[in-house]
Amino acid sequence: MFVQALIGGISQGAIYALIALGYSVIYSTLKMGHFAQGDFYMLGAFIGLSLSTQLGLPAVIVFTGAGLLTSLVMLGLERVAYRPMYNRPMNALLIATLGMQYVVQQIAKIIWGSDVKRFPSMFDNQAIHVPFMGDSIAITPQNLWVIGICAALMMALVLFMKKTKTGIAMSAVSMNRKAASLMGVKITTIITATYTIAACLAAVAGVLMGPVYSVSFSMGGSMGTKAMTAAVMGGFGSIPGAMLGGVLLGIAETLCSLYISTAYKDVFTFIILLIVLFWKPQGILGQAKITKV
Amino acid sequence: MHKTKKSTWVVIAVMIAVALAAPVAVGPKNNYMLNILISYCYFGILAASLNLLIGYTGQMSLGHAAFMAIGGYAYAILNKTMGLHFLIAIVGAVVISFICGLFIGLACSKLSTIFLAMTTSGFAKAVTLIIINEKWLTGGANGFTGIPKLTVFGHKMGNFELYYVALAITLLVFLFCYRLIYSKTGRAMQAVRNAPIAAAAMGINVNGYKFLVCGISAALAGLAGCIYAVNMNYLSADMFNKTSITLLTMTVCGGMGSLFGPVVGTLVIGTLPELLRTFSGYLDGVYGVMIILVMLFMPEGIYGGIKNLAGKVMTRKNAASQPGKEAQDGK
Amino acid sequence: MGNEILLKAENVTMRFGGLKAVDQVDMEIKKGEIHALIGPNGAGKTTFFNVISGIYMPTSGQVLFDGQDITKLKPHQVTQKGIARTFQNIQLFESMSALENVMIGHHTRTDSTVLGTMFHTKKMKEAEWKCYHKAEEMLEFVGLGDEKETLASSLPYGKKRILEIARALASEPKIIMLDEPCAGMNASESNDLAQTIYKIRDSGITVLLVEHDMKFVMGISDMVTVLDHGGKICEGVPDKVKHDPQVIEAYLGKEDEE
Repeated sequence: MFVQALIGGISQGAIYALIALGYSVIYSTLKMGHFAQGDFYMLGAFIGLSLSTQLGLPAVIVFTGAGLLTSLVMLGLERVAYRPMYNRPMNALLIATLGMQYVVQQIAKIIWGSDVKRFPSMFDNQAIHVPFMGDSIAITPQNLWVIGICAALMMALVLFMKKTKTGIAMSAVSMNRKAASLMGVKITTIITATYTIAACLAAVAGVLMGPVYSVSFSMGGSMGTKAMTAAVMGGFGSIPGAMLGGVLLGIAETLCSLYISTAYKDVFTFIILLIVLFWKPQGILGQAKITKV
Repeated sequence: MHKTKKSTWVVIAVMIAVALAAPVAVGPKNNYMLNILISYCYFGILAASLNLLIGYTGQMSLGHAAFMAIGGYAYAILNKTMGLHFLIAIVGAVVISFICGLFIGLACSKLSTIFLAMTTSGFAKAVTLIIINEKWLTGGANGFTGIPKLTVFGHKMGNFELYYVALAITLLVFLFCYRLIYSKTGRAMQAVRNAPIAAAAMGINVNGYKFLVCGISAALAGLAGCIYAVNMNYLSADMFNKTSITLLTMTVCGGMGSLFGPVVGTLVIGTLPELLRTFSGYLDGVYGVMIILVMLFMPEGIYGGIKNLAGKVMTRKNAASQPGKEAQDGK
Repeated sequence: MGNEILLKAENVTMRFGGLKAVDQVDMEIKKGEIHALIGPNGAGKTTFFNVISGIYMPTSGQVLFDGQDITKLKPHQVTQKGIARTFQNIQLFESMSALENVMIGHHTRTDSTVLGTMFHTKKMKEAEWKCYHKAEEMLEFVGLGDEKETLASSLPYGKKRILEIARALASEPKIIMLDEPCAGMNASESNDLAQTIYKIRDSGITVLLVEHDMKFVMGISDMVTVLDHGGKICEGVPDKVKHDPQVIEAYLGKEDEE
């Protein structure tokens, strides 16, 4: 039972990690949250659903398509709604991202309606039974795909941050925005890039989870909160932190619903958030800040 | 010392007169319109209380509707389940909300804006879950039904009378906010929002004030919840979820950091659902777009925008006679 | 000028990770003096200010004020004891008027409660008027009497610095700590500032100031303490400090930063 739950937890956690990475890249460049992040996860799921069922495209194209299209939507919305606010007090942008939540949900409602939609699985559903210490553990291909794709994307992101010019510029901005700007890095472009990456990751997560939970316009909210908790747990703004936080949260949550209560799973997440924020606000892998006067 | 301009008093007097006459104008039997009028009252209180927190003290609290829910449910439980007199129930509900607010105050004193925003929205979700799951106490997902109407000396109050009670409470709340803001406490709150470190260096107990304002703000939201409970006779977690976005839109669009902001926000956003009745499916999206537009073009809200505009016109008028004299800010 | 010691730092050390920003500094400030704290960039002057005003808790050491241990007090408690300060990077309440800024300075001495506010008691009204008049008086004192209603954000730079001083004075302190008060000021402005500082001293308030402008410091101070790399390297009257070989050495290497 325990190991079974663990695998489920890791697979769930990988999704949290994927979305949490979005928060991390945005926070590291902009020192800002993005409350609509969960809704791009939802948008990705819907786009994936359309590509998969209506156009009958193969899985690879569904994933790339959903990622790219969602990024495009983000790109447009960022241009119109966020960009003019980067040089203003951050609260305005934070509130705007709250408004964005409802805008994205409305877009989804208009296109796909407000009913819950079933997302047929794109992978083989036959579980693989693995004997383990006298037990038999069922691993679905879904689980494996989720873990595999998430791991691959995280690797890709790390490589992107380390090897590409844009990625290095992103790290520079996150360390010192002013200095980076003086060195000729176009801050606005970098911020746009972080939003786009965040949306793309969330969209892929959406397509991965669509078949598990079904798809509806309101599915983003709680996912967003959980991914945020994961990001905080690992250390807000840290990329390895987001991955670690995601997986840990996934496991913690699965174990909670196994041993404590399913109904209060989300409350449990909230309590974890509180514990982390009050006890170790910099997260597991984050760095403590010194107030400068 | 703060002095309110004569013209402002005239505006306030006219607004109160209109508020007093409104139920007579719509007809004392027109329950539909009376419900809308009462909704202005509790939304007004809510927006004003959230404004104290976000607008004046700069604490990004996103779970404010939760306090309304706590107040409403506390009232319902005290009044119906436990059979207490409604006055005691209201006092009890406000005190309970106040105490819950202090918990968020604890979060405010430790966390920076973005983490506070997360915590408070998480708090609201937790409250919703508790309401849904603790069926024995709250009626669970079916909601809390049959909250009795107010009865004074054996007379059951209809919506017509309830409106005047609600209006009186609302006016008292605004008077309270007015006095609070133009006092030592109000200045300290604004100092905390403007520059917390300097505020501390001026001898302001920054965390203490955050704590206090969270409590006060939650208590007022709880009071709004009581009115809501009496007016609706019925409570459900779902209703409060919807209130969150409406409340945020009201506070943000009306204008934060001024007392007229919440009034403008309540009247404009509170009327919107009625104007868009045929498009009710688009309401949330409209709220979202409004929030973004206001943040983009009028960060000080509709009221602030109008005031700035009026200020500019005045300056232009005065420019010839009084060079260099800036338009008065109204403070 | 008495010889009574108002503020005393004993062995104060402030460590950030591996960095010792302030290293075992002893310092005594006498009542009624103008005492300057100087040193090259990064010498730990502002950190020392932050330790005294309670923003940082020192890693070790003690701060005594009027004979009381204030090491562990929070910033607002320190202010209540009678220590006021200004900031190197101006920290005004930008959205409020100059007068309101100064009224906030009077916070700890304003005697009104939330309940009093609620019921608009006579006592509360009196306290508010007292606060208002105090703020007016302080603005006049520093020469900003005409800017009462101006928003802090729209004041010119030099006046912002002066407003910070008025705000700090409104807390009726025994000692005022000025962190680079004449940074960014022109010659005539810093001349006026010197006069204001004398006026402050003459009204019985001790002055501790951090300043980069050597001419200004040497002209105005009764006593000078020099920090370098977090440690105290010299202390004495301006003439003595000026000719101290260690001080000259500390500054020579960094002359371009002056």
